[in-house]
Amino acid sequence: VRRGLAPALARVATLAALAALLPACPKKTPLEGPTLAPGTPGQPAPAPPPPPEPDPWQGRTDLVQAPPAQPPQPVTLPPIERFTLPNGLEVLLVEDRSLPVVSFDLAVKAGTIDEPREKRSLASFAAAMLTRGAGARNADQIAETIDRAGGTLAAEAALEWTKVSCEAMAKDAATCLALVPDVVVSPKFPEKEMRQVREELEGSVRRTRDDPAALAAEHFDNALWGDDHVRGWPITTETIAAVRPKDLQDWHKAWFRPGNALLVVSGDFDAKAMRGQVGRAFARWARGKPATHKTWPAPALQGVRVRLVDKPDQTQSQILLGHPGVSVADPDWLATQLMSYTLGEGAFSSRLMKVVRSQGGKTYSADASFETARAGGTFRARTFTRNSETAATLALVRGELARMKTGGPSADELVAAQANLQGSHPIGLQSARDVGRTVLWAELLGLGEAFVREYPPRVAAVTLEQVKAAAAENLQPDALVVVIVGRASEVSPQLVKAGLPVDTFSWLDPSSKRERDARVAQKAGPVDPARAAQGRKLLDAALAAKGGEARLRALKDLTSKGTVKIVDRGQTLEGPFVRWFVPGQALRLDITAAVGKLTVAVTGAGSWIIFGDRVQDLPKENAAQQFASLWRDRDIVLLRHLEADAVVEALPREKIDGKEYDVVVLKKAGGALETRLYLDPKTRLVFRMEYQERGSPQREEYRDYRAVQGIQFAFRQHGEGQGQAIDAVTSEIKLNTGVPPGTFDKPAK
Amino acid sequence: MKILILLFALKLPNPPVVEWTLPNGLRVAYQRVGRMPIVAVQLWYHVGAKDEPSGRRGSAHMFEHVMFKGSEHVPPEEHARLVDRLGGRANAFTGDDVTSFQQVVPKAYVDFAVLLEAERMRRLLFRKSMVATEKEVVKEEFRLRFENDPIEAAVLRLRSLAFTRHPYRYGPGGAIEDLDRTSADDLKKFYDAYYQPNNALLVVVGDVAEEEVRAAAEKHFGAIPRGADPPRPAGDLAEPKQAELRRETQKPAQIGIVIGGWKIPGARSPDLIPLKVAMSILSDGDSSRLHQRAVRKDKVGLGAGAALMEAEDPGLLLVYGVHLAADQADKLEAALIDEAERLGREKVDARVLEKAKNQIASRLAFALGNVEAVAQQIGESALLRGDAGAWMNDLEAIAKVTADDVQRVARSVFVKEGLTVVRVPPGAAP
Repeated sequence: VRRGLAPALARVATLAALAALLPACPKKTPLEGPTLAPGTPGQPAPAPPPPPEPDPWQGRTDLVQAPPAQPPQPVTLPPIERFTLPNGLEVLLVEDRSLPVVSFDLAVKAGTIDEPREKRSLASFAAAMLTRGAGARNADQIAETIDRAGGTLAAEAALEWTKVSCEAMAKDAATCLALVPDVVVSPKFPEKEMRQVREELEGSVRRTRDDPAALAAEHFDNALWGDDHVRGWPITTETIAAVRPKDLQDWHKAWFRPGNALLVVSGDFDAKAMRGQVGRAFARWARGKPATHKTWPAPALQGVRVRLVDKPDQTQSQILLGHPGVSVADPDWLATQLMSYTLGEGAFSSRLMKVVRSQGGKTYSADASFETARAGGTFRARTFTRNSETAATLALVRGELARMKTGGPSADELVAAQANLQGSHPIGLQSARDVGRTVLWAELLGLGEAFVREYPPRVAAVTLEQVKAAAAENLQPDALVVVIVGRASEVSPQLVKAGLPVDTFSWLDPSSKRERDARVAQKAGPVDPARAAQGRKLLDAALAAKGGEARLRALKDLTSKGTVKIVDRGQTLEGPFVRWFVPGQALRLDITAAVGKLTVAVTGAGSWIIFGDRVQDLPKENAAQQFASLWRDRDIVLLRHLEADAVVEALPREKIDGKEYDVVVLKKAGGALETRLYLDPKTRLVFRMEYQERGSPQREEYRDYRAVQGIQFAFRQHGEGQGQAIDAVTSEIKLNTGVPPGTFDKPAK
Repeated sequence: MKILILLFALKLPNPPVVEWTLPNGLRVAYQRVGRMPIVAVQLWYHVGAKDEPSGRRGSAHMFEHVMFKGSEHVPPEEHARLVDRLGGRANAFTGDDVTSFQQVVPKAYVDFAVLLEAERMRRLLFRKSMVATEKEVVKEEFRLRFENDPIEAAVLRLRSLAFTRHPYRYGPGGAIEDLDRTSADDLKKFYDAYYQPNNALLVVVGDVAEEEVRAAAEKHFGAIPRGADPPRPAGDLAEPKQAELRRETQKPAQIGIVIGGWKIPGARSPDLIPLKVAMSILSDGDSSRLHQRAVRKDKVGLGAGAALMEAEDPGLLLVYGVHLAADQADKLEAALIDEAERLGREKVDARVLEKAKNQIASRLAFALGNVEAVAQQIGESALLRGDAGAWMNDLEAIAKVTADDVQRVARSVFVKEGLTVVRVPPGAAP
């Protein structure tokens, strides 16, 4: 049990009844997978003090030197034909016949920045719905049509625009010419397709909670822009649900106008013929005045604010920091891009990668960039590191921001940045599709098509003074927002020590204050008396079915035996168990597994784990939490609603695997230990319990109830939560036989 | 017959791949393509995670990192910085069977990029402090990819269940404790065993003449002596035929996922061609069978698809579905498996077959415009299939696939006792 025991201990409380864990490094059986061992918290990774090794490259004259740089050249693009249809749609044709393919990219200038607060997700919702029924085709017919041609059709909302793209073999250009106008001009937004899109959006909201980088980004946007700025509003289940069919129609009507759009067609076609085809295909798109974009003032930041998002199972902290950036329309935008290459965009050539990764060994990746947007945009620096190095890594990143602000890049760094940006420009312009999309991007940002051709000489023309001035002007190392997603128990003390003011949230908390307040208000609100009475009635019935209050109160101790199987992050622990439980006092579980004997004890005097001859204590706070959660032990939980001021509330019935259950929420006086009980309406007994443990959902299920001395006990239990799945089969239960002396004594280490 | 004619009309516009071998065993593959004055220069080593010694899982990937940490004439990270400074970019990846070092540079610098690759083939310097630092970097990459992402973790778990003996069970990430154990000496041994000209392939694709490539290869690699034949530990670890369904449920995540996997033949098998058609039928586009069945008809998930782990030794075909409600998992699994098995039960009709062929052809056509994507095709084709130009013939082979072929491979692959399932249940909504 060399590694991983401590974090596993922290999870012992999960599924309190079976309190279990897995040593991360038992002897491996050939069938075991790779050990996904959590990191070693509190213990910096074994980075031995570097022995003074001689630098083999110092003072050498025979090192490889880069060949002389080439002078910057404008790139040669294929011919681009540009025209405007009578209805105002602007069209660009990029004819390049080297490959037998064609791409259509149509952008409408409205994106997520134009969404209303209460319907946040509307731009994405509308984009997704464009292909779910348009013109004469329903969703499945559209999919079948494009797939038969071997092509792809996609619609997606970005910050400042919504783009529809269609690609196909050149011989199938007609398919795109039919589908793109249909989905852009005549989408049907059928209500019956909304369920699926809603579910997709909901899925991405939930996936954000599993993806620490995405979770950090959501919190960053909120912390930076605030609750009063469109970019600070999170998409939530509620805002998705608020989108109605009429909202989609209205959104389309407001923005999807030919004068508010741009079409680029690129690839293998005859430009003259294509001009006619495009004109005919979009002729029916009626003119109209688009809505006006609302403008949003950028927030003024003061000082460094840290938001720590606690995700206890993280073995790595995601770090995201930044502040408002510059607009692409700003005269020093290009100089800022060059500075940003040296600071953090230039991979191994950037200072951040050098300091945080190559020299520090703290991360795999560190970068920084200025968002390219007409609206203000954002400056962000991102990296990640093991929990124990979080504050040190943050300090390194901030140090580089400050150093760049003060001194700017060196002359040599600027030469390197210019050489890379101008030289690599053609890499992004290899195919007709690349050219078409880049030109579209430049047009949408107001940079214009010429920018794409002249990018290399324009980059070369930027001076060192301009770049230094851009660094001084556009970096704010002392006024920024920092978001860290990691294990707070480990990260928080580091930040406090560093003197940083920290706001801590659970990873399940909404990122915006407004949503958090709403949730608290909802939780704290008084329970509807009718639902409280209904809940008590259900629990009374469950208690009677269990065996009645008198019998349960007479329960002094319980000893059970059986077999248990625990799967923890891919590892399995299996074997016979013995469990001793003294209500209100203590719980002990012994498992005899192939890898050795494991004991878990939870008592008022502390909690510990014994594996082999090692005894390890649970951290005090966790131990206390463990002990407190014995309150909801499955066999005595039905006495709890009888306690003074216990909170009880019946919820609507829920279906699980097609069967309906009564649902009751039970809390201790004051609202602690919230537990959701699912009761079988037939037997009245508890089928399932759900609760949160350290921010993670936990679930226990009970089957095969049998009576022992008049009390119903579940002989089969299943549980899951925080990385563990537990299945136990009980073979024997004895009541009030006494617990052998010393059962709950901790052996000496 | 119509489709056959169509695809032949669509002859690949690229010229054939030219391939030759230097006296020291280094293979060189070259193709002239592209409209822009840039060139992809890639060095592929025939070594991957499956060649790692046991107890040192992850060392192939770690070695990929070490290749950037300095050689006799190039200080640490300078390789990447030199390439950046010429207006190019450098990258690398480690797979189960291969490790590939990639750059794309303006055409004036092809010779220089070849020089840089030749320099680190045999002149790497191993310093303990460097290894210690880079080890931490690699561990952060592992944490990022596998420990803190439930989907990645589930796929990794599926590998380790599906393969009981063959090292494909580990994946290129390896294991943290093995990385901790790996010393500078271990890495040096690995380098000497596999980073030799006779175990490598130089791929050059772009706007450059053949003579220039020949001259650069000869000039910079010609003097490197041939090494010993590399050891192939996986050769003794053939995966026994799976005889029972394997299933496991992982810890819950915010969204649920069901993944099923079956073994497929290695990349050299002619069956891979009809299998690619089968996979396209299952998963390409919203009209594909998995999406139509799981998402549209049964409504038991919000997305479904398939993925092919095409590898030198027998690999995997995965089907997967994503869902939000816990009680959808059984039905989603049943739907995914049934659609795969249906390919063996019922012969596909001509329309479905033609659609799949169109989809495969157009995806390939789009990739042809990019020098890096073409070089990637060549590298994989050469090392996994033994022929740098094999991929150029795939369209023709795909065009010849019949409904009977699809049914035959589906019957042999999609069998119950060969199936491995991993599920991640969805947690409660936040």
